Parts: sequence; structure tokens; C-alpha cells
Amino acid sequence: MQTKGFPHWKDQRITAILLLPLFILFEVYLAILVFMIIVFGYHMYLGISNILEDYVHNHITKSFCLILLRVLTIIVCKDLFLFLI
Amino acid sequence: MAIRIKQRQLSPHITIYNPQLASMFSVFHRMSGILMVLGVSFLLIFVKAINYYSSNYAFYSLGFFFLDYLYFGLALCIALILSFHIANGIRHLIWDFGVVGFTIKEVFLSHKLVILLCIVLFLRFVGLTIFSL
Repeated sequence: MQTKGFPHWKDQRITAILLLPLFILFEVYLAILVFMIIVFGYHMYLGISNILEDYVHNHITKSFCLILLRVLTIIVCKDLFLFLI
Repeated sequence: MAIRIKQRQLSPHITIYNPQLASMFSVFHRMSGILMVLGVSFLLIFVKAINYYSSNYAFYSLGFFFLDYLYFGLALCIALILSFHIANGIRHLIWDFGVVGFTIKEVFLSHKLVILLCIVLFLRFVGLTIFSL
């Protein structure tokens, strides 16, 4: 099983830096709403997958939870867009 | 043999833990991430359910008029958790540049700044919702 550490860490920091102005500006400029929701979803996925990899020790359960997490991220992004539009 | 191995005691690890401010901030940073995911998911399901059943007269006649306040309270809790996550996240990002904030005096100062920034952001969220500033 190949898990790369540096792109995970780097993407977490880059999405965090991107999210700081975006969280304030998306209410003013509605055009960047979709971009903000995608970056928010990616940051959420990176953070929660970090937690699942730390605390779930069985490899079958962990893979299953990571797959379900991706589904949850897509559903949350879709519902957040419908809620905020 | 296997039963005997499982019934051995552990030495105390959580019961003797002395919570410091730095470790509590790190624990709360991770916990706030989890709680926000759960809170946002629950809020979205909640809004969808209320939207689906609102046009039904039977649901209206039951009289769940406190649901507006429940939604507002949940949004306020998410705002508090989010402001702490943003404040502590800014501290993590400043640490990641590798220049400032590693001596113990700077860490104690950063604790106070994080709490101050958390309160300021939370008051801004409250002002945005109540007064439409």
C-alpha cells in the first residue's frame, strides 16, 4: 500500500491558506462559491482521512471507511452548494 | 494462555495525564475538525428534512416552532468551533514557515493570541448573523 506523505501535508497547508480569504470573500463575490466549496471539501477530506489513518488499525475497516469518506465529501459539497446558492 | 495475556493490567496513561494548555489546544484543534464535519453534515440533513416537511399541514399543526431557534443555535456552535479552528490553524501555519514561535515565551504569547483571535472571529460571526454588519 503506497501512501505519500508530502503531497498530503502540502495540500493540507495550501488549502488552509487558500481557505482563509475565501471564507470571507465568498459572501461578497458569489462567483467564487463553487471554488470555495471544492477547496473546503478537499481540506475536509485531507483532515478526516488523516484522523482515520491514525485511529483505525484494521486495514480492511480503514479502506472501507476511506471509501465512504470520499462519498461523504461529494455529498456534503453538493448539499452545501444547494444550501448556499 | 491467551486469556491470561488479555487480562493483564496496563500502566496508567490517561488517568495520570496532566493537561497542559499546548496539548489541549492540539487536541481541541483535531476535535474541532471532527465536530465541524459532523455538525455541517447534520445541519445539511436537518435543513433538507425541514424543507421537505414544511409544506405539509400535518407537520405544521404539530407546532414545532422551536426548530428555528435550534437551527440558529447549531449554526452558532459551528461558528464558535470554526473560529477556534481558524485561530489555531493560523498558529500552525505560522509554525510551518519555520521562523517564529518556537521558544516557550513565544508559545505562551501565541496561546493568548489564539484565544483573543477566536473570540474576535466568533463575535464577528455573531454580528454578521444578528445585525447584518
